[in-house]
Amino acid sequence: MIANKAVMKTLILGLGNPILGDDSIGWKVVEQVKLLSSESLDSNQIDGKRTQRFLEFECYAVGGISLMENLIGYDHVWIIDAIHTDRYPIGTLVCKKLDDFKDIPFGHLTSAHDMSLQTALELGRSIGADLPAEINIIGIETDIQFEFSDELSEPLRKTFPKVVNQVMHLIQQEANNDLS
Amino acid sequence: MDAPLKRITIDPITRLEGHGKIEIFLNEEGDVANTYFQIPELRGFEQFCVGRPVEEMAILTNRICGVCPEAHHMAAAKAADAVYKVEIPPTAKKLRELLYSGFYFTDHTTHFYALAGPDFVMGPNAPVSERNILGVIHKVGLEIGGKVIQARKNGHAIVEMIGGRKIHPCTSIPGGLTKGITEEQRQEIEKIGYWAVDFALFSLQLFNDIVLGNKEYVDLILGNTYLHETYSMGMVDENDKVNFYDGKISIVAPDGERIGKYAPAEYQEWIAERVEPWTYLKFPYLKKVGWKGFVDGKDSGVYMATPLSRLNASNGMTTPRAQAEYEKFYATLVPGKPQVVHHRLAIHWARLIELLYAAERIVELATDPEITSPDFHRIPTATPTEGVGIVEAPRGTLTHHYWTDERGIVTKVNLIVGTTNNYAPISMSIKKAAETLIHRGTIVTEGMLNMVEMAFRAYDPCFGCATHSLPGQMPLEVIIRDAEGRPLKTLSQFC
Repeated sequence: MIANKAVMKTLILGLGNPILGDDSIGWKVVEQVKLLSSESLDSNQIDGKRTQRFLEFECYAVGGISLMENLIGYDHVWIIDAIHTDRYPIGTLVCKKLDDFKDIPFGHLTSAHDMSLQTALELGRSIGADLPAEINIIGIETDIQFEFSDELSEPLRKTFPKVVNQVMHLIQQEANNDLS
Repeated sequence: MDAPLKRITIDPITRLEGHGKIEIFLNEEGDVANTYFQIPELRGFEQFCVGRPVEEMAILTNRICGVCPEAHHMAAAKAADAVYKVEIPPTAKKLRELLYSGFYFTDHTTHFYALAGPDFVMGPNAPVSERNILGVIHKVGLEIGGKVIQARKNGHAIVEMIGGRKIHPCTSIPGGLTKGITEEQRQEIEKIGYWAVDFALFSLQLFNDIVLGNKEYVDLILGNTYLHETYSMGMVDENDKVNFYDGKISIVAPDGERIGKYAPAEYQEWIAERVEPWTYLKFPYLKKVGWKGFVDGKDSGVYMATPLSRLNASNGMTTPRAQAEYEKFYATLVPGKPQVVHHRLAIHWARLIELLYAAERIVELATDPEITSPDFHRIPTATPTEGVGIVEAPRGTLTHHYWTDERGIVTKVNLIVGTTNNYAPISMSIKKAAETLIHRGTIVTEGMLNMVEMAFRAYDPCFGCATHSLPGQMPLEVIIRDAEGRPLKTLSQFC
């Protein structure tokens, strides 16, 4: 449960390259979820105080320190991104907390230009940045081919409506849990 | 019969970098026989662009890469100007350069503190868990972290004010920009500029104290492990001074002789690309010198395009403090000799001089009387045909070349991106570092692996454009195999 605040800001963040085929699935899902959601998802009573939860939607093609900078000021963040594990059918959602991921790239190459998100968050927190305590990751299984296109592959396109519904359900469910 | 080979693989499996991999092959005696730096190609970008209006390219191409979208935005905008044969107003040119200076300030700051700094502040052999920006903060002080974040925030603010968005700018169009800046914004940018100059001077002082004040590091920089004598490339203005946004491309030989300068439209007369069977990526080289393989020297067409090469290819900086640092740089590294430095770790120092130059340019441009003029766009009237735009991306000269039909619809695209220029010298640097560090009987250590990485980290390479990395992937792995290919030992970057 997130701390009792008068206003809680939740960020629904689509990650990926919007012109790299299935890598854009995070963007496309978030754009659709935004269309289907109202700006203020709901209001709830907590300990007799009224708490309003605001949803914001963004899509970025960044990682590491840039990503961390864009998470400042939010209480709760959902990152929706493409994954490629070869372990699940295309369109399968894999849900984890960021803390479930091992911070492997410590000191090395998440990128030649950047740092891991975990390292960036630690950097941000060390200087007092107002960063979310919890970050949820929704990975969507894809078969990324690294070929430029602004369209999804046929298998992913077919599962797209279901993926959007599942993501909306997950976010709503988590919101209810947070505020219960 | 050739001796059987052993193989070491350095495998940075990351979507941001497009699954790059270094393979080091050892011979029977255990010495390095050869190395290969492989980067898979992202396919189909040219085809993706064909059929789109050329004015979209500045928006589209900055999606190629999450690291330097501003560079693609600028090169694309300049190429589109050239396609329409339109000379943009002075205010538009200054605004674009101001945006670009803000971007440079952010990018160079990030590289030094997040990537280069840990190698020097913590040391190449420091435990991997400490060799990162958090280690730097713990060692130098918490305020460093705050300054780095503030520097990035300031740079982003400039990009957003002029470019309309803080990550992927969208305001440059054929003929100039879609918007200018207000007096209030100008004042804010000017204030940022003064802060940036102080920060850059602070960073140079830090480099002076920690790196130049440490004999071990100076020996590392000046030693043979990271030395290559290749041609240098960089953009210069009409007085042969460094410029990131506009000018001609200067080429200087390993001995310091300037062999020529080319305008953007002439790039095909100067640059050719070599194909090797073991990689999809091509190796650009100087056409007038010719390809002689992965070798140093004046007869080899291999060149580098980095902060260091930009200084080598110029006669100095236009801003006073950066010029003073430029003079100190050459007086320290090559006293009394032609102003050309080949020590690849000196790229880090050159990058900080460019950081200072970018900061000073922010102040200069923000205080230019024309910068708030409403004359920031000229309507193109010529029939579009073909055009080339070049800027200096932080990690190398960036060339965009577009062909269109008479309606301005793209029919063909050619890009030479910043790091691609450096593919040959990076490959050479990796090989040399590996040859120097790995010998028969050597136990490959974590520190040794990092020192091989340092060979290409200096170039600030960017080969991939997938733009982000979902946490949890294994970034680096070294596999040492015996002559039959069986793994003897695996080194990975797990904590």
